[in-house]
Amino acid sequence: MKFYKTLPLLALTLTALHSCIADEPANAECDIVKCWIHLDEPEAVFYHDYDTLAGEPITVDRPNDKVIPTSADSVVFSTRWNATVSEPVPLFIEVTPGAQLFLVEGGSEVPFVSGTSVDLHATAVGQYAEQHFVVRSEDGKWSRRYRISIQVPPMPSYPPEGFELKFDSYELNAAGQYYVWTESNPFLTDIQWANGNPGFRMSKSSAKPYEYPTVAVGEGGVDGGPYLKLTTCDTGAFGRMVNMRIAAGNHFIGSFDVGQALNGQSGALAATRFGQPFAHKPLRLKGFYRFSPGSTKQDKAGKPMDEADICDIYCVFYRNTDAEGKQVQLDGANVLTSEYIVGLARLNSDEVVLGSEEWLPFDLSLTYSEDVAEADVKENRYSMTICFSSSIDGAYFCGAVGSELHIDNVTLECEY
Amino acid sequence: MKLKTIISCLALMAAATASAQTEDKYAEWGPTCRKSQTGVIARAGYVIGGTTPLPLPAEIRSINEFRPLGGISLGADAYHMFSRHWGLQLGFHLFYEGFHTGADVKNYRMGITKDGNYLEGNFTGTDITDTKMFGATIPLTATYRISPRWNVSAGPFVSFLFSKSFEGEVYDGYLREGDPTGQKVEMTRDNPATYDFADNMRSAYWGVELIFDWKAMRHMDVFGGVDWSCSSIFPADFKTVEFDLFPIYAKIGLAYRY
Repeated sequence: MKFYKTLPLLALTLTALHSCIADEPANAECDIVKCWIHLDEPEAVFYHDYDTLAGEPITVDRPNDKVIPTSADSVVFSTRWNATVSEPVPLFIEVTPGAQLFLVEGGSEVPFVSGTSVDLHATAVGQYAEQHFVVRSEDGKWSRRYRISIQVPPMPSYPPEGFELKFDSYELNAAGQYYVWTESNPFLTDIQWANGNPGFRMSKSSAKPYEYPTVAVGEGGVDGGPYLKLTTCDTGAFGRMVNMRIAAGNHFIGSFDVGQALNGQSGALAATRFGQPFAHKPLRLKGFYRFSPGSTKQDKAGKPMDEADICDIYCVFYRNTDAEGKQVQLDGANVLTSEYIVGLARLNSDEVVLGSEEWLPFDLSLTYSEDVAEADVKENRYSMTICFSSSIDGAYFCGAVGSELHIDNVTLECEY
Repeated sequence: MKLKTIISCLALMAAATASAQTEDKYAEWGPTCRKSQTGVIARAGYVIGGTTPLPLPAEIRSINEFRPLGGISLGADAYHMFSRHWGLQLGFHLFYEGFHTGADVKNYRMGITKDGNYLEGNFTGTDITDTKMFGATIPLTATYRISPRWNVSAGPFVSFLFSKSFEGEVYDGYLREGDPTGQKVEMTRDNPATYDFADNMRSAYWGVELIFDWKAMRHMDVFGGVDWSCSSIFPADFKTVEFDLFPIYAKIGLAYRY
């Protein structure tokens, strides 16, 4: 009978593994999750109602549920080019549960109650008030700083020679890991170029800036200057961990949500958010390229495919608001197929010359599927994207490692 | 006085008899080879347990599933009794043990190194782990005979692993890259991030064994106890899991005493 006395000891040892759950630790995160302003007549100041809610749509299906990307440290509300804001506006800010929000005033932090009116005046291009906020985590160990402003964009104007895009304004990101580009064309100062480099960094932290899929090359362009080099790269061991074995070099107008980039196929498609409101009607995309395919195209599982890799270039013009007035933003899943697309120009794969040492011209005309009213275009009812990729199926992680697309001196011609 | 003397004598006699009976019992249940006080115990047991941080850190919010994998211990102990109560045991046990566990974690610090690439951060979500270890344990224990039929043995052991695995996946959550203020990277169940840290595991570790033996029959013991490891399954410079993970396995089984 005495044997049974040892059973409690055994039982104790086993249950010890289960029952010792400690008290829940306080939240360590300290983000601004949502941010919006209230205006009685939002469309007097903004092009769309939804412009008063900052951030990116959570998914294509939930356009009105926008969140601030966790990589952001500033929130900008962009007005109509001819609008001004002079009175304080009620500012609403939602932070991580448990976190505390402070407004920085004269160097000291004052607790901020969401909904309080603050001075966010914006009177002209570059003339605006910027408020600084600090979010402190529930556990008190972490904090983040944010800048919030309303800004007036420049007046849209169209240069007769078209919008020239030369990819000659680039720098390393703040941590010095990869290249980022800003648009140097003075007519397109609010155009944002994005690419998958932030996602590639997660898989290959050891990569040098010139080993990324999207790279700036300092000389050798059409005019002898910088050009854009896109390469399909192997993502290494981490890429295999999340079943994303390759990363095509890409470069596009829009934004890249690295938070979704590793979230499976659907996440990766959602990570590339294509297009920005554009007050001009594009007609023609032309420029110069060189393309040489990598040796073996592989599928998502890494198995060789019985076809050659090819690059992709396209320009898409689409309605950015649906019938209910909700925001429409195309992503990798629908950028070439959405019903909201009105104009499309795309490189014909059969006409691509492979392996040229010389720069070769491309010239693509947009085909319009419906009439586009100039008044609607001027009201920012349409968005435009231009995209370059070193592997046409790169969004689905199919491509040949080593496929290389060079791009330079691109011109977007518009009707107005 | 007479009565007292008689009672005392009776008591003494009773005590002497009892003592003689106990002496007989110790001999009866004692080591089978009476002359040398030396013998061998062959053991076969079922093993259950896991590799766990101690105490469980607050980052682990719940353990949703736990299932032993494997769970066999086979081996033998050579023993020698120096006195009626004290002896020494030296063993060699082969074991195959492991477990499957699923836990929800919050702000769980992790860092992964592969091919010179590094990804670190704080993960909130679900973590599934499968561990299996095949190896040998060499315990050296002191034995104390509590009673004729009960032995308790305790002492240090070293274990050597012939094969090992430590793999799993994380999903239904997100990683804050670098620290809790870093980029949030979502991970869903459809596309878990998988990991395999078998190569990072130690091949040897040590700990303390505690075993109770109950002599059910003259040659047959029922035993139960625990192998409590004092070294983490991963070396100190392995930063993927910030806390130490100790293999702690209970075993229960039958032994044949030669």
